Amino acid sequence: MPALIELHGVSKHYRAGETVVEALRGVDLTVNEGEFVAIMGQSGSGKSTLMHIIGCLHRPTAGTYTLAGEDVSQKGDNALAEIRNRRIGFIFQSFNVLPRLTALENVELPLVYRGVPAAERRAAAERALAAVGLSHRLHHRPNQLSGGEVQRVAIARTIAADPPIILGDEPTGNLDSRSGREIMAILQDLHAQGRTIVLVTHDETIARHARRIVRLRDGEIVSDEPVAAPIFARPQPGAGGVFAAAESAAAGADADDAAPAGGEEATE
Amino acid sequence: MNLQESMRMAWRSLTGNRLRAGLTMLGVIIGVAAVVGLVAIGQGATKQVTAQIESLGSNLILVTPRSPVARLTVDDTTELLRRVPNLSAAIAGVSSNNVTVKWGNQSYTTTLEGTEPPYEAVRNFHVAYGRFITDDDLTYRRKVAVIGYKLYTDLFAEQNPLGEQVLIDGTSFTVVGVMEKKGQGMMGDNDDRIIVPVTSAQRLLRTNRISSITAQVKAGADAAATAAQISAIYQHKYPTNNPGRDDAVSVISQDQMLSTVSNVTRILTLMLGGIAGVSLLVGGIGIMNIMLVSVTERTREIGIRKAIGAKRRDILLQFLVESIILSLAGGAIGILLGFGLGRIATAFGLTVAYSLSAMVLAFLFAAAVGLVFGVYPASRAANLDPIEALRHE
Repeated sequence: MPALIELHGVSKHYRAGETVVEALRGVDLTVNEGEFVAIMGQSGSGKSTLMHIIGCLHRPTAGTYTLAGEDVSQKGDNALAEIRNRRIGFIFQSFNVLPRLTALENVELPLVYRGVPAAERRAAAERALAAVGLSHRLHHRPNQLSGGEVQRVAIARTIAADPPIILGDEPTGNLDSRSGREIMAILQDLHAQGRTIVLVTHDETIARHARRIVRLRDGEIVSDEPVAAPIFARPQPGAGGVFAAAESAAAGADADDAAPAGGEEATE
Repeated sequence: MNLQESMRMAWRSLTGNRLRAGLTMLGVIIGVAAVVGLVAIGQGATKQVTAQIESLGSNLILVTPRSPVARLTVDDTTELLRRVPNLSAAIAGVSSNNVTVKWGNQSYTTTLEGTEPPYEAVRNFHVAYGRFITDDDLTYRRKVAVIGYKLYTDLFAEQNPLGEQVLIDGTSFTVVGVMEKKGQGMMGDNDDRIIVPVTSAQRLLRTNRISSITAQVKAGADAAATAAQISAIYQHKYPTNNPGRDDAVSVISQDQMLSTVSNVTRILTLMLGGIAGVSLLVGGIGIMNIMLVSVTERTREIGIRKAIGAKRRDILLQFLVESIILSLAGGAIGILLGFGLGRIATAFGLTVAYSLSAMVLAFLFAAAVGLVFGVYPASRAANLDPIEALRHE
């Protein structure tokens, strides 16, 4: 798989009053197309900053960021907006959907900014909402939906825009374990469909839904290794009758082994 | 994103907060309504006064004494007619604003006007019943009176007044005619007066002076030049030593009257419009204020929009369109309300003349106000950093 995201010596400095905070110090990271990477670290480790740079919300202070072969580290605001619109989908911890718009309108929004005709983007939005199981909630506003449903609206917004990269910033952080599991299942589905997913989290269990974990400390990468036994949030038909124990995954980091067939997940 | 989408979005956000949108518009509504309404009242006043001056007759020159030195008498009219060939008529006038007319046990307070026979033609104001004052009445100082239409209706209760005796300030006069209905004029209500021969009026008021000469310029002659000629005659008669002082006799042509009055009313209209314009400006500042609050409130929304790909221009347009919609809608409602204001003024007896140019100007000004006062908040929104905006609570 070709490299999709390439960071070379990326640093990011913030000025906080008199002092300069070094959020990232010379990070080198390559994410190939189709990977599912979790970025872990304590708060203040720079993981959010790293995600903002990958998401083209910020420009690095130093170093280069190459996205699909194109250096985007010093592009202008409008070019970055265009990249965010077409190539990157965000899923935030705090959902970040517009409260006054309905689910359908929220999902349509990236396509509105892309200039897609109304009928076409409506159809795409409906498909995307159907994909996350919200066909019956098209005209509800976020305050009429549960947290898990709102996050699914946010994911549908990403699906409708159909970007190659999906960035999740603690997407399950504000959800109960069951809703969180649903979200992880959807992300894993999206990964299975060939999308590149980068997840920022401080939760070991959530991170182990990915295939590779990058650990950050004080703005530097301290480890970067594949996940030996990834957790599957949904039963895996090809895994020899062994289902990923979503229930136990939520219960603790240790209970990540397969559960017996016919688990609760299947009956949902 | 195109303009249509921006408008749809702006509309959504405005209708999402109707009370606020309404209150914000109120400033512009009141401003535009004030401009339209007040200019209509100002221009109505101009129109009314102009009509009143024109109702005096046509091509008139009014000669009035300005200082006690000037002693105008009935003979002045003959002298003017002799010395100024451009004049077709000149009538002497005496008036008293407050005379009591009694008929039987009825009593009525009105204006007394002493005049001469050409009055009817010069003032273009005729008798409806009976006859007007004649030269003989004048010569013999007959105690005859022609009553205004209002006296006919109010004092005589529409009974035949011809041949009736009335007491004017205690002196008995015979009513010989009733004037036609004319309405408001330059010198008050034309219908609320009693007209007698100038000589009889002088005797009644115990004076040998007259209070005005109304001269009519021949058709086609230059009224201004004629007025200057008359003025020269009186300047010679009553020289003023001090060049800065006014002439002892004021000579003013109808055109001068018109231009003086229209100058005054134009300034009045401009002042009213200006005051209204200030309120429109205040309305614009109100829009800016609310838009700034709205940007702060929606910082997070702006962050979300930016994160999913809204460009600077998209955000700018969204907020700008909002403020322009507010000001345009306010302008349109304001124009309607301005008409309502005119209606109310009409109900209070004012003449109003709606001015299309004032309406267009007020509307465009409102639109400009929305644009100008919307730019700053909109650009503030557009320039927000997406991450900062997303972190905003």
